Amino acid sequence: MSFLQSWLLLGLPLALLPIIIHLINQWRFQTKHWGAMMFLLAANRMDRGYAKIRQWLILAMRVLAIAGLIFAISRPLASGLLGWSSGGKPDTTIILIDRSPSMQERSAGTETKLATGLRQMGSALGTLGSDRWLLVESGLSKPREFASLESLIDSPETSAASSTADLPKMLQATAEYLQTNRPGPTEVWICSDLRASDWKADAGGWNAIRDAFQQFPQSVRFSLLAYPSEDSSNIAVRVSDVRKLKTPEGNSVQLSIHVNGDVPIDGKRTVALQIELDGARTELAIEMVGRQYDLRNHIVPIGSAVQRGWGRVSIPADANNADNEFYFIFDDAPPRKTVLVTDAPPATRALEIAAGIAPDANTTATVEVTAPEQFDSLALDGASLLLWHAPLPSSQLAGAISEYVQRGGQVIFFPPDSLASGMTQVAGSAYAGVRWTKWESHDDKLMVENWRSDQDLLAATRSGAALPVGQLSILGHAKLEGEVSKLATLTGGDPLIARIPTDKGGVYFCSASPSATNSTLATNGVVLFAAIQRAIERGSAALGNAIWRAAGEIEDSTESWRRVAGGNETFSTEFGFQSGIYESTDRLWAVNRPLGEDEVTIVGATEVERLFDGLDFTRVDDEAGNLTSIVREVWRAFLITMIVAMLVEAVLCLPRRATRQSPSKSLAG
Amino acid sequence: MAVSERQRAFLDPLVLARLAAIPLASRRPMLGQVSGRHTSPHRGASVEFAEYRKYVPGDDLRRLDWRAYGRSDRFYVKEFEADTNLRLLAVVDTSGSMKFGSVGLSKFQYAQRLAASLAYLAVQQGDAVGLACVSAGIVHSIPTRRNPAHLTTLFDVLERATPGGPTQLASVLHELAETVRQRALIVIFSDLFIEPAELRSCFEHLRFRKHDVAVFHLLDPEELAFDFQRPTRFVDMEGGSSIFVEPSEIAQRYQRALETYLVELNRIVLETAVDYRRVSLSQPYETVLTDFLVNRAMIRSRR
Repeated sequence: MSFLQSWLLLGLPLALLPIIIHLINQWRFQTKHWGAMMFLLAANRMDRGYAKIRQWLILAMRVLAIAGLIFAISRPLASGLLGWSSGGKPDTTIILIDRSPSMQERSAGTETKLATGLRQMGSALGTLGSDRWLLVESGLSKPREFASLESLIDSPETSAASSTADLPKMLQATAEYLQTNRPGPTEVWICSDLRASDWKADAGGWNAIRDAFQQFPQSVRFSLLAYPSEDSSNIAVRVSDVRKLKTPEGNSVQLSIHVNGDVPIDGKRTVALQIELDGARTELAIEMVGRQYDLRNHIVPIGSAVQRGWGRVSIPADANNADNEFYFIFDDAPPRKTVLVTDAPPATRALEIAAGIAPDANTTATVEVTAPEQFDSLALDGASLLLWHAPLPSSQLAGAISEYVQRGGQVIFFPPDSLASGMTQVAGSAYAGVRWTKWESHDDKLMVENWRSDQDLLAATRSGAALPVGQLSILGHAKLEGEVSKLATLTGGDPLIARIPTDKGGVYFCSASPSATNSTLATNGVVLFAAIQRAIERGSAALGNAIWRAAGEIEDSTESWRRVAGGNETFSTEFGFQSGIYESTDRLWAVNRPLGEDEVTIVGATEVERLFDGLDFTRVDDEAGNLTSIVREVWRAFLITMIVAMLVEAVLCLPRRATRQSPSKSLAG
Repeated sequence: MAVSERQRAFLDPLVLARLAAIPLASRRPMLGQVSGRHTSPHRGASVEFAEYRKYVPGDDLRRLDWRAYGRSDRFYVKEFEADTNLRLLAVVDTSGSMKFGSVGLSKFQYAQRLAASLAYLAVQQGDAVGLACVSAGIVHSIPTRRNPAHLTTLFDVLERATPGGPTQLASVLHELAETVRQRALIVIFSDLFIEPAELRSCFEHLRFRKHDVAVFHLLDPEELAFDFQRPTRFVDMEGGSSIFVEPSEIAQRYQRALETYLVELNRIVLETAVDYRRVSLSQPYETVLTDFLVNRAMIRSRR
C-alpha cells in the first residue's frame, strides 16, 4: 500500500490519543474511604471478562476511528505494484515499454497487452504523479523526455512495433541517463510480457546493470507490470526462404513457409494460408499435426518480365495479429563474387574451390584470384567475400577494405604462408587493431575445444546438426593479438576463428592455414565450405538490391525509405521498427519481426527476481484487457472503517437498559 | 425532664419535643417490672377487659363476676390486661464503615441521633433503656434501666463511642439474643454490611427469644447512587484491602449487587417479622423517627 499524502501519516501517533487519555485518566485517580466494600467486591467478581473486553473494544474502536481518519486523508492507494512504500511523488518516472510483436497478444480480451499496459500505467502514474516523465521504448532504447504523462502515453513511440525488445539495453540506457542527469528519487516502470527473447536473462550485462543501479545515491524503484500469460491458440507464420527460379516454363518464386503454433491434443489444426504476390492472392489450407509446420519449396509462378518484387504471407486473425503476416521480397540472385588475395595460390586452392561452388544452378559463383601486390580495391566492387591469405594489408588498402566492410562486405583473413615459413617480419602490420604475431607449429595435432554453434559462420545447420568443427586437426596456427570474439577455440585457448566487432559486414580471422600441411581445413572441407558459403551468402545479401532485415536491426538510414506495403499508420521514423516492404533508391527492403519473437518462452518469476536482486523491485502480473486498475485510491474504505468504528464505539458506550428499578431510586422516599 | 445539664450534639430538644407526643409502642407483649404503657403477656389490673376464667379455689373472691354467675350459675373470674413497661435495647453499629457519610453526617452520627432520641422518648414514657455499641464484638454495653439518670450514662457512652474496626454484627446479635433475658425491643442501628443469610439467623434467633426487633438500615446516598466519575481507589474503612476501579465500568454491576442484596434483605426482614427501616442519610432523622413511632402506634391501635 502506498499513500499520496504520505507526510500526513506522521499524524498516526495521534491514534494513540485515546490510550494516552485513558492512561492519564487512570493516573489521576482519587482515593476514597469506602464502607460498602462488599458490593464493590461483588461487582468486581461479576461479568468481569465482558466488561474488560468492552472497555478494550471501546478503546480499540477509538484508536481505529482516528487511524482510519488519518489513513483516509493520506489518500491510500491499493496496489500490489507499490507494496508498502512510503509513496510520495517521485522526481523522475522512467517508463520502459516493451512494444515487441508479442505484446500485441489479446488473450481473452479485445485489448492488446501493450494497450492494456499503457492504459494501466497511464491510470496508475496519473494518480501517483511525477515531476519528469521519460520514455524508453524498445525500438530506439533511448530515454526521451515528455512534458506530460498524457503526451508520453499517446506518443507514436509507444505504438506497437515489429522489433524485439532488448530489456538489458533499455535498462542500460536508463542507468546511463540517471548517471548523466542525476535526478532525485526515480521510479522505473517496466511494461513487458517477459519473453525470454526480450529479456535475455543470460546476458552478461545484467550484473553491470544491477551494479550501476545499486550505486546510485538516489532511490531507484522498479515496478514491473508483467503480462506473462500466453494464448496457446496463437499461430505465427514466417517465410524461411525465398528464391526466384527461372525455368524454361517461366519464372516463379519458391517459398518456404514456417508455421508455428499449438494444435489440439490428438487432433489436427487446419490453417488457411494466404500468399499475396504481385497483387495476386493464393490461399491454401495446411493441416498442422504438430507445433511446427514447414511448407517447403512452394512454387508461385510470376511473370517472366518480373525481375524483382515483394509478397506477403498471412494467416487469419488470432490472438496475436502481429505474427500473422510476413513480408518477403525476391530478386535475381546477385552474383556470388569472391576475391581471393593469396601469396601462395597452391595453398589456397581449397579456398578457391569452396568459394567457387554455387548453391544452385541459377546462380553463378565466380572467384577472382589475385596476388597481394596486384590487388586493387576496385576488385571489391560487387564482391560478396574477400578471402585474404597474405600479410595483412597496408593502411591504404586497409581503408578500402574497411569501406567495403561498411557496405556489408565480408572478409576472412588467413595467416600468410610467409608467416608459417618463419618470416616474422610480416607480422608487423595490423587490421583494425588485430595482427598476426607469430606462427606456432606443434607436433601434436591441436583440436577445436569449443565453438559457437548458435550463430555466425560455425552455426549449426537448419536441421540442427552441428558442423564437424571438432574433427578438425590443426598442426600449426598463427597467434593473434588484438580484441576479437572467438568463434572457435583451439586447445590452449587460442582462437581458430575469431571475429572483429564491426557495425556492418563481417571481418574474420582464421588462425590456421588451409594448407594441407598445416591443418585439415581443406581435407575435411565441410567446415571450410560451410563457413565460406555462409560468408558469401551474407555478403551478397548485404550488397544485393533485395534486402531482408529484422525490424530494429537496420543499420542503414531509413530517411530515404518509401513504404510499399505494411501498416499505413506508421510514421516514417518508425519504418525501421515496423514490418513491411520499403523501397529506397534502388533497393527493396523487407522488414519483418525477428525470429526470436516466435519463441514463446517466458522468463520465470524466480529468474526475474534474480535479475533485480538487490534492487527495490516490485512486480504485478496483469492480463490483457483487464479493466481493473492496478493502482486505485482506497480512502473510502478507510473512511467507512472510521465510521463503523465510531458507530461500534457509540453502541458499546450506550448504558445498559435498566430492567429493574435502581436501588438508589427505590430509596428516594 | 432535665437529664443532662449540657447539650449533646446528637440531641435536638425541638425534635424531641415534637416526637414526645407520639408514644413508643411495642409490637409484642413485654415483660416489664412495673406498670407501663405496653401490653404484658400476664393478666393485670388495668381497665382493659381481657377474658373470663373459671374460678378455681384460692382465687380472690373479690374478682368473681357475680353477674356472670347470675346468668350462667357458674363461677367466673373476670380478668384484665396488664400494662407494663418495656426494655429498649439500642444496638449501635460502631464498625469502621459507619464512619462513612457524604451529606455532612456520618452513618454513626446519624445512628447516634436516632438511638439517643429513641432512648429519651422511651425513658420519658417510663420504659427501661439499654445500649450496646458493637463492632467486632460488644464494645460498650449498658443494661436497661428506666430511671432518667440512667440516660446520662447512656448518652455519655454514646458520645464517647467511635466507629472503627471490622463488623461482626451477626455474632454480636446472636450474643445479645442470648444475654438479653427478658423480652425487649431491640433496635439495631447499622449499615448491615454483612451477608443477608447471616442476618436471617440473627433475626430468627432474636425472634425466638420473643424480642421485638427493629432495624434502622443506614445507607449513605453515595453508597446508593455510586455516581463517581474519575477512576477511584476505594479503601476499605474496616481495614480490608483497597480496590482500584473505573466507576463507569463497574457502576452497573455495583448497582446490580446492591439491588440483589437489598431484595434479599427485604425478603428476610419480611419473613422474620423485623420492623425494618431503610434510611438514607439524606432523610431528616426526625421524619424517620416519626414514621417509625407513628407506624408502631397505629399497629397497636389496630390491635
